[in-house]
Amino acid sequence: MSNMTIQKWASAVLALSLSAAVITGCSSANVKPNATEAPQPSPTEAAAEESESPAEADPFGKYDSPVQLKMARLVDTTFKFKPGESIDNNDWNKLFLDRLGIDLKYAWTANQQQYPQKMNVTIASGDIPDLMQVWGPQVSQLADADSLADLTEAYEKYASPRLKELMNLDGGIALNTAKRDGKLYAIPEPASTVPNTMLFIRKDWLDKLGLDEPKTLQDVFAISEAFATQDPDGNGKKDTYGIGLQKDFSKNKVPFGIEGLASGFHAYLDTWIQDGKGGLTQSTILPEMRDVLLQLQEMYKGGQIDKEFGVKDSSKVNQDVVAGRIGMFYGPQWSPALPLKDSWANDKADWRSYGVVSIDDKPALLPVKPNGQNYFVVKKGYPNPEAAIKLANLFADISLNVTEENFNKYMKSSIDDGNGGKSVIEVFKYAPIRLQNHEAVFENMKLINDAVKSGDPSQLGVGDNLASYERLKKWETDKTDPNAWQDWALLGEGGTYSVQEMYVRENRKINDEYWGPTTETMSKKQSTLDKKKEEVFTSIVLGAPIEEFDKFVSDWKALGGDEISKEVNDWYATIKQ
Amino acid sequence: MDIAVEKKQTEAVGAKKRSRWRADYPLHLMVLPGLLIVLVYHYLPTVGIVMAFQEYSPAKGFFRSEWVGWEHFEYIFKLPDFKSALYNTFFIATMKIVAGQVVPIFIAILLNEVGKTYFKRTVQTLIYLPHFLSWVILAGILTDILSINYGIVNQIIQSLGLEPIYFLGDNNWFPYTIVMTDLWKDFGWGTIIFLAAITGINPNLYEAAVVDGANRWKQTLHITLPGMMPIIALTATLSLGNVLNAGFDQIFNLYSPMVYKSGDIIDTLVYRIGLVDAQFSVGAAVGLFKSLVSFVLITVSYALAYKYLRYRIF
Repeated sequence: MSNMTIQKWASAVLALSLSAAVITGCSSANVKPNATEAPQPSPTEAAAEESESPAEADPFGKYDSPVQLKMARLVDTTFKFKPGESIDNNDWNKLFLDRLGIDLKYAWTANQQQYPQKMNVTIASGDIPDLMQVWGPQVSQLADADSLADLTEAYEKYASPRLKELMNLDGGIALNTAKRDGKLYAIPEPASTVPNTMLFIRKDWLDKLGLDEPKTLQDVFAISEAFATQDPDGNGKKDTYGIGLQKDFSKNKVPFGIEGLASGFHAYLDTWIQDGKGGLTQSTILPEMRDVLLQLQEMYKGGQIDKEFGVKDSSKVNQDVVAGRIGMFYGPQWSPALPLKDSWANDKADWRSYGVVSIDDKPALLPVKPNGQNYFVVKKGYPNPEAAIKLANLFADISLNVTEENFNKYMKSSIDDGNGGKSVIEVFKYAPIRLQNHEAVFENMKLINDAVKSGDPSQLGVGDNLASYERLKKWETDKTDPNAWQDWALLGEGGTYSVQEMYVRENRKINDEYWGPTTETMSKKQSTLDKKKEEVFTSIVLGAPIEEFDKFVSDWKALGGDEISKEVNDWYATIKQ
Repeated sequence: MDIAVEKKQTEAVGAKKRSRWRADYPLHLMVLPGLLIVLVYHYLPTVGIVMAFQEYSPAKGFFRSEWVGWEHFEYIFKLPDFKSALYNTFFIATMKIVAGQVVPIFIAILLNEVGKTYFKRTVQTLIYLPHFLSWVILAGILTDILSINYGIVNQIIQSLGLEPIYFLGDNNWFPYTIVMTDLWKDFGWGTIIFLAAITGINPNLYEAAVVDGANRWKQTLHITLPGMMPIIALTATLSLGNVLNAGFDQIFNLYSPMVYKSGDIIDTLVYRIGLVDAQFSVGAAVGLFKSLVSFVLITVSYALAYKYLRYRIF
């Protein structure tokens, strides 16, 4: 495999583990430190009482005799088990059996590398398990082959109010992506729509050169120039760059992409936005993008961009950051973990995170793609398709209303690691379908930072919030540990989560409006168009005349872009109704 | 009487055949598992070629997928990038084949002339070590070594008073960089087979040559090289099959949009098409196209080797 792929995985795993650490914290916000109050009937119990009237569909109803449910899902190396437990034998599986009467067993599991292949083989063989974790394109593939159960009715009847609420946090878009011809064929886990790109700058360099934090994009340009020309590291050599950039001009190439800079110009790479006339248009070919490239070209000419950026992928640029050659870049929320922790450890680089800024008085918006990150499908002919919905109901219910005991048993268990210490087992991962409130994390951040200020963690309850609190406290007393620095840069005041919180508060996102399937022309022409884009954009930054961009736009249209636009707009017309 | 004799003879031949079969059948039995594996894993999958002519969908399988004939081939050949990719593939692969033949032969002969065993062994081991490194690792190392800013190669070039060369970002240099780095990685490995061939030459020939007054150079020219010829013909013929394999791992890890013009090969093109949407049929069509070209070239070179060297490979 390529190092690009490895890195993509690495970043994904990092991002996931980081966000999982905090997101699951959302549940602990509701943990009551003293669970001595009169226990309120949980939805489960309340529902159990109602279930005497069989006509009513009960989201938590228990089957009289256990139903068998065979599932295929992704289980990676981050899944840890208590001694004697396994993916087939754990507290969640017992809970499903006890509460719902669902006997969940795994037909097979595989890790990220092997799962897609194994799933393709399974689909090709035609012998599919009752419940499967798949990706978007496979939903279409399976639905086209008429292999999937129609979940429309099951979802309408059995999804709990809490599940429906979580499902609709993104405006129901992820749910729509699981529909074909109005029928629901999969349960999606909606992806986060919190913008992720922000600006990272070395505050120590800013201070050294007497510069202020950036308020506008013009400030960013000034900083970039100063960083490249005024010797911010003070070694007397011209060995620093203004802004860190890597070779790909594509969405989600992070860190060191141009997405954040483009947002400042109101241009959005690889994103379908509204054209103001009731249709959609591809932002990559709009005049705003021309300005972005012109700006980059100027910065390259001025020595603010590495002459070699065209051959450097993000891992190579990481090295430059750690070596102290780069003082500013656009990166994702998890950048403090990689590469900034190393940079801090190396020369105490004081990296700070800032929201992206705009070239004019319109705020800079960041593109997000509402979508499902995982899809769960049920085999056609499986007698109890609603069982899958019930699994999702139960997780949504438990993660919302955890008690101290439940947290330990069903969310995160702390066990002896055999060396006298404790290690945390992420029990929540055993539940197969987990919908989350991606924005709940920000309330928790506020709680935690308040507690750090007051020194009183009593409002935090148990679980992750308390753990985060303790990590932040550690930074206050011990300013030598890179891990403590990382926690502070992520969770602390002014940290990356607070930048994201500001994005949410100020609604600084713009939706990628196209979430339909890969169209026919896309599958045939998109890679050609993308290559053209990479080639032309790179050459313009390197100094080719900007008219190349105009030529690119007309080429793009002629080589299939126009057809794709038409397909996208036809699709948009059907969903607007 | 004649008839009787003939009959007897045929009977004898038949009996001989039978007894030979009896003596040999354990050997045949031993070949059977290998034969089965070849059948199951090499011949059976060729049925999959049918995918190249279908709008293949795994859910529908070979039998129910729609038949589209040459559509995928037309699609590939009409791709705007295909011509340049084909040219780049051919250009890079040909250079690799030639260099990958000439250099190892040269090195093998030189090594053969080295008297000190420990020196010969050390050199041999050192030069074939890079073969075991993957291109992912090497790409990272090469990007550093060839860097225009800090790379050691360009520092040497600059210390000689020359302009630094952008090996991985300049379209004029990139194909040669690819060939050179590939050669560096694999020439040591290539010498092994030629060294073995030299070892196989009858020492009597050299002794006779010495008696005839031939010096080292003449010995090399008239004994070593002709002695190696069958192996050279074999490797050359087989390597011709690679004329459309310019090395996906290597190029994918080393190229960038700056050098798409000179470095984009068929495999990387197909990879990008495949990435956007899993188009199995297109992949199968390209695979079939490449196999056909290889097949034709190997057949031709086989015939040439026989015609000029009187040498049968198979």
